Amino acid sequence: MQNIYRYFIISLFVAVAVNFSTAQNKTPASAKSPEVKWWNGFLVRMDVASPVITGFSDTEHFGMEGSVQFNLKRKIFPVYEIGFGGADKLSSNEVRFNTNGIFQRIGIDFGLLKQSSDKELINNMLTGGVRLGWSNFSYDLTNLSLSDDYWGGSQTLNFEGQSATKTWYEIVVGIQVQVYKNFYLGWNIRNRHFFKEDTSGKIAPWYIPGYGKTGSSNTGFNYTIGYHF
Amino acid sequence: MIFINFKNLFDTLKNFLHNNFTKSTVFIWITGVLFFSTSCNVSDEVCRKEKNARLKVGFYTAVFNSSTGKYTSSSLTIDSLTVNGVDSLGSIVDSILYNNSKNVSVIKLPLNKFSNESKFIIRFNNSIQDTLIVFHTNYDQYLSFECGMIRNHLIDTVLITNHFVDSVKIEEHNVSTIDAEHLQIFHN
Repeated sequence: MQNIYRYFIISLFVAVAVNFSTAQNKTPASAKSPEVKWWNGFLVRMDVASPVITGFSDTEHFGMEGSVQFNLKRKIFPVYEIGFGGADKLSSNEVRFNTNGIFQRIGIDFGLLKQSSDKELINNMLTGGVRLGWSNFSYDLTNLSLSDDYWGGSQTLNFEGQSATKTWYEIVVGIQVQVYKNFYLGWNIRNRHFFKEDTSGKIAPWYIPGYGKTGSSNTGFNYTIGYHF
Repeated sequence: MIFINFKNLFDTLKNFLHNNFTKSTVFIWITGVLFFSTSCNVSDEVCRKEKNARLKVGFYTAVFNSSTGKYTSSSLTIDSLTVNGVDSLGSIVDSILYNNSKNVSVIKLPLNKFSNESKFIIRFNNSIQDTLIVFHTNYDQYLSFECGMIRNHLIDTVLITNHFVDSVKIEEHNVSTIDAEHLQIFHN
């Protein structure tokens, strides 16, 4: 059933994409060697991947995020990202993990494609960069059971209102294209790493807002819609 | 050997993004959707870690080494061994831990997770029996979300009767899921 949904979404997106692209008028070539200014405005982006995944997956985790990307010299792009995320997960042994919180990231992207000097300025780009992310959040880990099969007895442990601050870094690669006037579409892949891992035995969170599932590294994905100011 | 020419790859991508506007727009939708669809797969993890901390007891005999003039310990194999737990009321626990097991040199015993005292009756070779009492404190260790919490033990004191057994020695106080020999029981 999930596969049918997936193919439906893919075909719908492709159809929309073709419509978008055919409706687009190419801008005529301007000056032969265009002058590249330092300040080229900023792009406000919303991530659509997180809410869509939340809607179609088992809603174990949810998120929403947006970002502002500043365009300097058409090749340096300082970025600020902010979002809200959380999780509500039940393990196979009935342990429940619950969290939500705000996360922020700052970083910089670099245009990896050289601007052709003999063509008009193109706003499509391939970027690579880094992020520093942090999140201060609280979480509950409940219904942890302990039982003694031999001597008998059982106990349920609850850890509510645990709080944590986590920091991590990300390596980001992405593509962005101008689809219509000031509207942009793009996606990026991120590989996230902790600066410091949790010590063994600590009641560690299963999910961290903005980072995702806890692990020494994880891979994330954003699909963004943006408007250039 | 595979050699990737990154300059050519970048040039191709650059030309693609710069010159084929229609195709690049479609490309970004399709690649994005493909990534999105793979990220939808959620796998449910199952705990594969050991969750029971067991007290590991080895049987030894002291052998006198005439050249050094000292005693050294040598592993002892018990022909037949039966072990039962005894609860706080003095009753034998129904489930038998070792039932007339043959050729045993090491046993693993569960310590009580909800008490600070665990008592065992060990019957050697179907004839002589000794009582082993382990006083311990318990502490919890969180393994992971999938595995949950386990209860480990720290051995305080060990008492044993001396019918078959001569003495007992604590080798390692911490009883966790890490494999280690905690007690050595000596028979002469």
